[in-house]
Amino acid sequence: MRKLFVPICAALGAIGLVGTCLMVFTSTPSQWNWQPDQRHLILSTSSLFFNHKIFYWHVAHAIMLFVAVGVAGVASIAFLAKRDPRWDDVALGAAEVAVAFGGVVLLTGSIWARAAWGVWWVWETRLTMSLLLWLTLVGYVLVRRFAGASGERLAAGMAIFAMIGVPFIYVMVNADDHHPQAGPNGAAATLDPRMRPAFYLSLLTFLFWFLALVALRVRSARMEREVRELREHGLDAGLLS
Amino acid sequence: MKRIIVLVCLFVPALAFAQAGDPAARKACVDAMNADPRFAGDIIKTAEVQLNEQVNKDQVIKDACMIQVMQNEETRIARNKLHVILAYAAMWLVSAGFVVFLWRRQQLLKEEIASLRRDLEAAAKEAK
Repeated sequence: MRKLFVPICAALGAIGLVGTCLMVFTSTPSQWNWQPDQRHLILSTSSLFFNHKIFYWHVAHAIMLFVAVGVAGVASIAFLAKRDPRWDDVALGAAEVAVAFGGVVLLTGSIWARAAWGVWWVWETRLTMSLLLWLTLVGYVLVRRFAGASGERLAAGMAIFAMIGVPFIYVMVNADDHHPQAGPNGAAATLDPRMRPAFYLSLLTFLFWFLALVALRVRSARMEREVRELREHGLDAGLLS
Repeated sequence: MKRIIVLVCLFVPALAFAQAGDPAARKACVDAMNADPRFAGDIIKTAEVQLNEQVNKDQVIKDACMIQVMQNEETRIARNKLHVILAYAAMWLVSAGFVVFLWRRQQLLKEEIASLRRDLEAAAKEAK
């Protein structure tokens, strides 16, 4: 069953991706309404331009980024409490996947900003904090790569720090800025009902992708640990020079 | 008659202005206006009406152009497909790059583990 976990998740993710693409381009609304504004006509703010189709990937990746950071933070707490290296492997796997998902969030967000606002980047609260979160995760990966075994606890601290930042990004920055904010009942409550099926399917799709990628990365981390242990065993026994 | 005088007074200064000025005609008109305040008032009123008509015409043309430009631009934004394609490409590139990176790392680690096991077994046999 363990061996089948990654292929099953990847297959479900692939099926979900095809379904999401079909739904996004066939059943989600794309509409814009003109409304008078003194002397001119302006587009209504409730309009859904074609560029809103980026939403289904951008937001799903952002939510998976938050999930990945949460998993990395909780696994790091467990690692610091129990000193069990398996928790450290999970934290490393989730953090690397979070870097990849965060990269997608920043790239698709920037392209969407260019399409909707006419600029590639705005130094507003949520964007800046998302960039800082991503840089913290990149820092985590660099520490794990270059600080050796001594970097494990330092990196665990960084993962916990990153996890604490997530609620600030999601809830506590309802500032008056460009970025759409989640309503008091969550982001889904503010969605047009016709957008919800495609959005929920994209969330499920990227949840499967996330699980497959974390499982793959955890497997790599365990193999890296095995390599280290084999080397140490060989050196201790004087079999390797 | 009064209307003709008004038109002449409007026409002469305009012509004078266009021809870099005729001081005599300008002076005659100014003297007539100064001599009769009602006459001056009529001239000013007529000039203002004509000026307002011209300004309104300009504004209507300007508004029509502006609305057309705005509608063209906003329709272009509303139908823009390029950025959706770019965003999808970015997502696929990052995801595919990450999967390839993971796969290559696993292959290298598998080879390294197999190589280390072989070396350890060979070294253990030699030690015996």
